[in-house]
Amino acid sequence: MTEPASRARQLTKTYGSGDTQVVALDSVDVDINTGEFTAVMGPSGSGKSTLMHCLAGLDSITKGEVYLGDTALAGLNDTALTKLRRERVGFVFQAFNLIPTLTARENITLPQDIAGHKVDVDWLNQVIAILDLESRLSHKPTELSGGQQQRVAVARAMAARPTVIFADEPTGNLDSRSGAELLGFLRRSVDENGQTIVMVTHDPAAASYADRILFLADGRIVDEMREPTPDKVLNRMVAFERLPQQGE
Amino acid sequence: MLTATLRTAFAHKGRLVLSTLAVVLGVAFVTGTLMLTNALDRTFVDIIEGSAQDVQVTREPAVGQEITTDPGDSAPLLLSDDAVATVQGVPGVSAAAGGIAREGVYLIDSSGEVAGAVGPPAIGLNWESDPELNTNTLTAGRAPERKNEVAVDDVTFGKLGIAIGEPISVVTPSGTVDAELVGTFKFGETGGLAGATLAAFEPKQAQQLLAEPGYWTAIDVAVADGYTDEQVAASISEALGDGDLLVRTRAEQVEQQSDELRDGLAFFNYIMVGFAAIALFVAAFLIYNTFSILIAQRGQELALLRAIGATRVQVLRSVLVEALIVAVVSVILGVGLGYLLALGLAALFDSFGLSLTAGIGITASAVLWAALVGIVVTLLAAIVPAYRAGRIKPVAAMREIGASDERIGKVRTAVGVVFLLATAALMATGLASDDGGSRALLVALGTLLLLISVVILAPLLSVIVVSVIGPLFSLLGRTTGRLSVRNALRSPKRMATTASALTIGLGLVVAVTVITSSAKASLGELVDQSFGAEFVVGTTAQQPFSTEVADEIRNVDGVEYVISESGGPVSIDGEETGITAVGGGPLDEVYSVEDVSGDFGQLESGQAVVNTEYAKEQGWDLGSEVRILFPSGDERSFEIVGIYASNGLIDGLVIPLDDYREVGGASQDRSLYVTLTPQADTQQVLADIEAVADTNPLLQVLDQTELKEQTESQLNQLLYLVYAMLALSVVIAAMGVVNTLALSVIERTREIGLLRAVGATRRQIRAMIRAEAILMAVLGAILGIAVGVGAGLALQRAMADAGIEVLDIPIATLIVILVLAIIIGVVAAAVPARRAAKLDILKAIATE
Ligand SMILES: Nc1ncnc2c1ncn2[C@@H]1O[C@H](COP(=O)(O)OP(=O)(O)OP(=O)(O)O)[C@@H](O)[C@H]1O
Ligand SMILES: [Mg+2]
Repeated sequence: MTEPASRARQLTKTYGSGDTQVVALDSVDVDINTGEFTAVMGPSGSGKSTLMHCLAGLDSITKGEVYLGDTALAGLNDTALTKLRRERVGFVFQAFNLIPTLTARENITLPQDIAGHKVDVDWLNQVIAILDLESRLSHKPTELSGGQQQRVAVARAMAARPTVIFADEPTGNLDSRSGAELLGFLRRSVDENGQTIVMVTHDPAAASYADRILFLADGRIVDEMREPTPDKVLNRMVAFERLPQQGE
Repeated sequence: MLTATLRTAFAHKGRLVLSTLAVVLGVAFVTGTLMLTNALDRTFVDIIEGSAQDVQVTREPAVGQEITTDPGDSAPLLLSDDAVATVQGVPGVSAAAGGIAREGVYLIDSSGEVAGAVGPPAIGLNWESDPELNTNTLTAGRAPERKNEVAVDDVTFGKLGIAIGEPISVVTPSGTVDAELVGTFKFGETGGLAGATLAAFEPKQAQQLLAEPGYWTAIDVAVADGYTDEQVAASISEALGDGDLLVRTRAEQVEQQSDELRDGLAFFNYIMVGFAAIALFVAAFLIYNTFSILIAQRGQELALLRAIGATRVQVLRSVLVEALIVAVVSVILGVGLGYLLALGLAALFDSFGLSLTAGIGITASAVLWAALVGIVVTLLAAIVPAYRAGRIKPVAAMREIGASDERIGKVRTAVGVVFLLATAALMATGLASDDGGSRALLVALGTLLLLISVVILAPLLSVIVVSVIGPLFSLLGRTTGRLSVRNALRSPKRMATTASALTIGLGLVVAVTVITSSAKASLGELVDQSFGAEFVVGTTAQQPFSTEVADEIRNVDGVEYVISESGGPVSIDGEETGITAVGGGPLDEVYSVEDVSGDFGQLESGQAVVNTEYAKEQGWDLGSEVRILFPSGDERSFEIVGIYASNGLIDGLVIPLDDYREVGGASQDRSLYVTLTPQADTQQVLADIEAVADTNPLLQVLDQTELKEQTESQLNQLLYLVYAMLALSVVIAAMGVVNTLALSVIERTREIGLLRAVGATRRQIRAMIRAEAILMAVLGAILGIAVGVGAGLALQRAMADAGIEVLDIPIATLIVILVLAIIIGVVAAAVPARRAAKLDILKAIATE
């Protein structure tokens, strides 16, 4: 097997100190396999977002090591991290993914524009086609539906051909149909283009699109599942006797 | 609701800092000015009261204003020893004596320079031996008793560097006197003179130097116990029986002189308050923007308040209360800062030799004005945002507020266009007007209207200008530039308000610059083309000097003519007007004029020339007889022998200087024009003239180039003064840029976080904010330059008759202003850009 796209060793992340200290991640070891769609699940406050932020170089880590490909993130300064993010990482957040003053197309090419890199037009058109955004390119975010906005965000994430795309509850604000559509696109990009994706979700149905699910609780990875189906996921969650609270 | 307001105001106090500071600066300017003028007023009133007599008799001029100390231009209006004797015999007079006071008596200090400040008068007087009549008190040495002895006031003495008993030179209207300094005295009650200098001679010499033997410029009277000033004044009037004499009581002297003084100070006050008003007007933009932005940011919070039952009025009131807090804090700080400002200015005045003996105090009127101005401006600026806050609908609480793409109201554009048309109409009417005064006034009003039109149209103009200059910003980096331009365009009103604050200050700067450089260019051209003198002898501040100088220069080898120009108020057919008097040579030697009919050369006694327009107005033609009444009461006839087209050098009715002198005019010269014979050795002549001028340290000899340079540098000083005054509004406008940026950085926290997350470096974020700042500043400058050049052009046209015939648009200055705008942008962006770059990405993108 090829080397993991992203991995963490003994990753610990604490917030605050003394009495108010919170251990968000507790000695996590994880490998995100290249070309796989990984879902991260777990109750609210279990550290899912924190794990993603640490893997993506958005947040500093307290202890342990994090690699993107073979680059150790711990030693990088802000500029190097920024460069790494725009060239090798894609992001999709739950909401507020787009710059309101830019059109859909400009939002998609934003990381390349910022970097001053040439946009790979063939690839861009392919991504736009996959996400069915051709007719929406010149619109501003406020003129797009929630689902379209999230698709633009996914397109932006894919446009740079990043090592990993991190998506934090990308369907959290969408109705089930738009959500399913978006997940379908993510799935296709993994299958057809070998894209690596890590997605945080609360929804068993969404998680079932993934190849592998990591279950997080209290800052540790407590279980893992391959080839999930919604039922299997639900059963596993029941088995934890801890149904996740929905929503934010 | 009030607690909620206070809490909000407190929580957001950081966002209100710059608004407060802007009002503080405006208020400080107003109060500082008021406190300074108040101190000036009290200082001068002290001087007036200190020198007032129980009763004083002076001669009233037939034309023009009565003036306390003669400025030295016309011969003093005199009273004879007989009159003094008459007054002495009036019942109720305990003592009466003739007195002399005249300007143009300069004390030369140990380094050979004129003592005292340039500006305040240098007065010569007689030493009155009767202590009942003498308002001065001897403080050291003794009084002047013999010829060529002089006593000086002790403030001036401190600056002379000459000891009592040592020789001192005194320049007087009758030439330079080598005297001995015999004593010093304190002037009036306080000794304060506000920069004026006093030199006292014994009465005989004072008469000889400053008046005529046996004559005085005033009769000072002390009233005996048991009589009132009014009674005695009435008796004196009756005894003298001369309607041309003014007899005034102490109260009348103080009142009349204070009134004159207050007119002068009021003018100074109007100018300063005008500049303060501009600064406050600019500050109002800042406040308006702050509250608009705060309310946009707090939209959901306010909607929530409405949803849970707050009324529209309560919401409106809560915003106004917040504004009131800003106003009150600003007024308190502003008064304090104004006090410091006044102290600083007083110290500056002091260093120029004008000491304000009355001292600076926080006066009730200054505090009241500060409160009024600060509170009214702040509340007015906040009222529109407050009204909008009140109109926020409760349902807005449920909605996500995105970046609203606001539209520019059609009504606003329409109103703006109407204003612009009105401006054009006003300017056109103004320029078409025949009367120079109303022309300038209408065009000046048009300038104001133009500024207002541009402010109203600013959002639209901003969009246009930004669309044009926006692409340039992609040079800064494609995305960064694009984002900055889009961000600026996102809220055209906000950008426009911020930029137009700068437009106001810079527009006025440009207008004044255009007018000044046009004036310089016109003057230069005039001197080059129409001015025939080789050298000009004069003083820097137009102080008068003895006519002996002209006589001596006339004797210099190689000098052909020494032409002297003077003038003053006269009355023609009962109407007061000004005339020019020229003597010492033919007119056309120094002035070249066009369209002459008749003569324009040597004026003989009883002849006059007049410019075409004035002649037409008066219905005069060649050969017409003109009767002129002079201030001395003399009336003479002149025959019009020439009609000429006026230019910036010469204008109006011109009579021979000798005739003018015979009726008491121009007892001293203010400037001399020297022409040379063809075979003269210019360098040698110059050296000889300079040797003559050396007898009076005030005098300088200038050739044409130096003359131009000097007038230019005088115009420049005026220009720099105006720049300094307008600097405050530019600074406040720059603070407005900081303010808008800082607030919009807060507003765009998540957006900036997102940019950082997808790979924008800190440097790029900084560059983006900086570009936004530069864009706003440059926009303000471009609109300012447009307004300024437009207004300057119109003003130049309006004043073409008044000597500003050449239009000169100083491109270099305009470029400097653009560069300045860029610098303002960079500086203004510093803090907001740093803040934006330092934003914690995760906090920024975390959902609120
Ligand atoms: N900036 C912070 N300061 C302090 N504590 C934090 C901070 N960010 C997260 N935490 C804490 O770290 C823990 C993990 O938070 P995290 O956001 O990763 O949870 P999550 O699994 O993403 O939850 P959710 O499903 O609600 O999004 C929580 O207990 C949270 O309170
Ligand atoms: Mg989370």
